[in-house]
Amino acid sequence: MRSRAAKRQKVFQISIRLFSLLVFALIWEVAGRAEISFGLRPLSGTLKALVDLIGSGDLAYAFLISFRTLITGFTAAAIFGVSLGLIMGTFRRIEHFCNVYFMLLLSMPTAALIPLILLTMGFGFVAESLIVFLFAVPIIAINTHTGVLNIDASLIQMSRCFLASRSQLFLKVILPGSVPMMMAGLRLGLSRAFIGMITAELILSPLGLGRLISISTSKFQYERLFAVTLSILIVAALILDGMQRVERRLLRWRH
Amino acid sequence: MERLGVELHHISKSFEKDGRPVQVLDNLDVRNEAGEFVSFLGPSGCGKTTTLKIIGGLLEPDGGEVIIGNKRVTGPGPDRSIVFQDYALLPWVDVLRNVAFGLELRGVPKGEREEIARTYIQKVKLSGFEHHYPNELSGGMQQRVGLARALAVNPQILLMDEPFASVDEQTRRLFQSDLSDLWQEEQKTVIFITHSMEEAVYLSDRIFVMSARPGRIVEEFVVHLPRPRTAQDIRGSKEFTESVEHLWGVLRELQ
Repeated sequence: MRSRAAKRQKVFQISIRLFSLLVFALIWEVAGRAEISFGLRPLSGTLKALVDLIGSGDLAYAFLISFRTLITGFTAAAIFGVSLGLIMGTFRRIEHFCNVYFMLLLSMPTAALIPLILLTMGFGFVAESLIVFLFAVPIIAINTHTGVLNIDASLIQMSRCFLASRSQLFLKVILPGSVPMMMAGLRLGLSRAFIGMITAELILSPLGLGRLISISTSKFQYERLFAVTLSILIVAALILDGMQRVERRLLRWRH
Repeated sequence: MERLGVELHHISKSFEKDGRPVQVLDNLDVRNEAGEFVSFLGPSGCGKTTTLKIIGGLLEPDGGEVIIGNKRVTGPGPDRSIVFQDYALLPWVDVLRNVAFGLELRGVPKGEREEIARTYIQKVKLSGFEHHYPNELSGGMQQRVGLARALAVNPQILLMDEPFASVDEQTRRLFQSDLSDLWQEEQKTVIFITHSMEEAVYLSDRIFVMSARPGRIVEEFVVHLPRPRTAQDIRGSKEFTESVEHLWGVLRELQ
């Protein structure tokens, strides 16, 4: 049941957001034209460069290359992180064994691991995917683990009282009960995966989005640089928003 | 269906608190006839809930044993179900699936268990709410779901742990009279935990008054009110008020 007032509120919210974007675009354009710095180019030039990049197919190709890494690394992180989080929540010993590493991975700058990976694995798809994986996996595992620990103890007692087997307890109570935290972890993990992907490519890749950025920078094609960055921002925002929609669908019972 | 009684033989139980053992139950010796409605009445901390969990097989006593139908209780069983104080409903499934949950765990086919669930949803007067999620229901309605779930697996013994503790007075009275009717219809053995004297008198055949720390039975009180006990007649009767007064006398002396 959506009342008229709620609808009006929604329209209001969207207008404010659009207005905020408009203000940002305006400031960008003005600042670019004022030539505060040589590197800062106006929005209009950036958009033109973006159209060129799309037209030439360069951008699409770079996205294709980068997303291959992103999807591989993130999928592996999602599967591994969720499974490990569930196992850690179920078995105390494994929890203590793993927790140290995740806390370390989460609190240290993951980018510092990149030279190490370079040394051991060299350049290329596998090394980059591994970096994406390492950026995304700790938050996914830790969130899933917390999700399991947060399950109401009385639900577990209730299941025992109604004679749930161990596997039933896991499949019908622990797994669905940890979904909210798990989904939040996946969303945070994906945004960290993006960071990992760009970071890895800036350093490692002869192809992809990171490469497009570094080439544009070294050739002083700042419009192109801004255009690539802007396109990454937009795509990342769209994907994260899509995930949030899926999440809201799955968690309808909470609203 | 065979009706079962519950016997508690010299039950004792202690918990560790701040490194020291605290005796919660001391030599509890109680017999409950088949088909009887029995209440345990006492102040908070007297071990009522612990007693119920021991009968339910969720906790093991340190000493003594629980006998049901000539068999010693070693864990939860199909002959007993519990109605929990905090409802313990699965928040991610609707009323229908919550009520059918016990049957689902026992592997009853979907069509059959939903038919049974619908019958009990009707008995607890929640028809029309089959597809609502728990958080869309009031506390009283959630507890009706808890009761329907407990009855749906057709146990001989129904264990109720302060089911109306967090329900407002008006809802509670309606629920009490519905429960009284349901008990007459279903012919279950009921063990009911409460700290309300009126509630105990209104519902029970027999009341065990418990003292706190260590919990033991200080009085066994037989309620001589006729059945069925429709709310208006009984609560105003001399017998009712005298019974409540008597219980208050016993409880006051424990302070």
